[in-house]
Amino acid sequence: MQYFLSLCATGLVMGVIYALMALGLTLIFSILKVVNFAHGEFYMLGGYASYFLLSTFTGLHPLLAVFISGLIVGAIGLVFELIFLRPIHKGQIERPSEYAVLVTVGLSLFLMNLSLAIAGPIPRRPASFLAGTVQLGTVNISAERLIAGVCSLILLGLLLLIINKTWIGKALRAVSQDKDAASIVGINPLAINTIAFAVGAGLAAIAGALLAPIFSVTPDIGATPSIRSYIIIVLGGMGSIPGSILGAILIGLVESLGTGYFPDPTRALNYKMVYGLVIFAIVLLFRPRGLFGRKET
Amino acid sequence: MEFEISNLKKHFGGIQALNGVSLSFSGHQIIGLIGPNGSGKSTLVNTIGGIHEPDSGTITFNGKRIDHLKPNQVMQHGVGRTFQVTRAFRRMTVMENLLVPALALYPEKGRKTWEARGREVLDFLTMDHLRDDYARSLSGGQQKLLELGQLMMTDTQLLLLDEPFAGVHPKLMESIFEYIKVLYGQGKAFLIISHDMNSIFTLSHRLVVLNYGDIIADGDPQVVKYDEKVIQAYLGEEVEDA
Repeated sequence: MQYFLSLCATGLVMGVIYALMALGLTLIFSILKVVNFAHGEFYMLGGYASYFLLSTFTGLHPLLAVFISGLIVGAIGLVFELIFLRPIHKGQIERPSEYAVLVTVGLSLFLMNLSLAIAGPIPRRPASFLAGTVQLGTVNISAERLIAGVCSLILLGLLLLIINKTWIGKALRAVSQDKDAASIVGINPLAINTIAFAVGAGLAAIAGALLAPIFSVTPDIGATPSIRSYIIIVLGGMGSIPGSILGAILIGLVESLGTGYFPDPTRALNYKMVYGLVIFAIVLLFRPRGLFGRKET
Repeated sequence: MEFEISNLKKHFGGIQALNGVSLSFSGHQIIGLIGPNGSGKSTLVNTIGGIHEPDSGTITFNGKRIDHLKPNQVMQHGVGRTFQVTRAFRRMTVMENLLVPALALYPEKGRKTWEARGREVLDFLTMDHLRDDYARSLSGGQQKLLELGQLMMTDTQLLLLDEPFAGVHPKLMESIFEYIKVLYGQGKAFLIISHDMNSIFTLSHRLVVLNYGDIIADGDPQVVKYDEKVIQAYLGEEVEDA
């Protein structure tokens, strides 16, 4: 039982961190109607930003470095959106869907190769938040993962508060529901697009920086979290914020329990993504629009 | 209030939707805009509202050019609109729908002030009991009222209403009719597209008739009603030049 609870605790913590990244992708998709193929690279940049900040400013608190990384990558996302994605929404691109795929895939390749040129292929690991394990009742959990999970949970709560209670949140929801109608009532959809992309990139970077002390950073580390995020947002229902959060927690739990109970522990980790994909296939079989997906009317 | 459209042209592919439309008024009026299907009514409203960019011509409101502005900028100049098929934010509550335009245009006044104003607007529209309901649960007519309420939350001076009576229960239609008259009394101007001839002839102070992108009649509704070109346009016959 203790083993089961321990796996659940790890799964929940990882799920909350996955939710942060998936929420960024959902935000970008629901507002800009663009699938960001560079989302994993924003995650990777977050890890590197945290590593270089902590290497350069030795007195900097690791958690502060995480949030500064989010701001830096958010700013990169903002500039990218203004230069490359805004023309889509100004009607200046003849084939917007294909263009969006090309520029985001291009950004992904560019960032991966730029990181390889600057940081090299060697894994980099920023300073740990806190070493050791924490005892929660009968369950032992890595302190690093727990802190990463708690920070993600606080950020998720803050984000939900902003989306549901503030003017900017209402504007984001209005644009995600009907861009023309939002524009008619005085909202500038172009500005909202830029905000959404910057926030989405920043969230991915924070997730990357939070997990960097656990998994280290390499130029290609973004691929797996990126694929996992696509699975989560489809599982939760494209564009649904509660769906992304629930989907992420479900994937986190399934991955943790699947790995923990796989008959051959030496190969259990190799199939980590498969456990989530099985659940993904089952859910889509019965709910093709995902857990919280809606039929557009 | 000064509004002027001068020689407005708009085409889509090979179709000339607006063929040099000119229209102006001073002060507040209720102007009806009618015409057969495809005559260019919605294109005209969409072009005034910033959804379409005109090919040529100008639109000025209170001395300022508003052609080539984006819809949110047109709204900031005091020109608001509703849609033929309602575009309320279906996954937001009625109150949230009212707060969105108010907070977008005047965020400095704060949420509490706007919530109080929202309650007043809902009282006026006799919809206060629905304030926490999601817009998707409202009837079509109630959603049209909600769109009118959104415009009332802002300082909109000219309201462009696209088919406000279409598909609305007769009781609600009467209410919309009355609200328009009350708002007109408060100094608002209206440009209303409608296929409901009884309502538009009764409500309008001036009637403009479009056909194939041209204004074919413009004046007192009771005179326009019997205009030969208008009758022919609605009967589908070719109009010969005099």
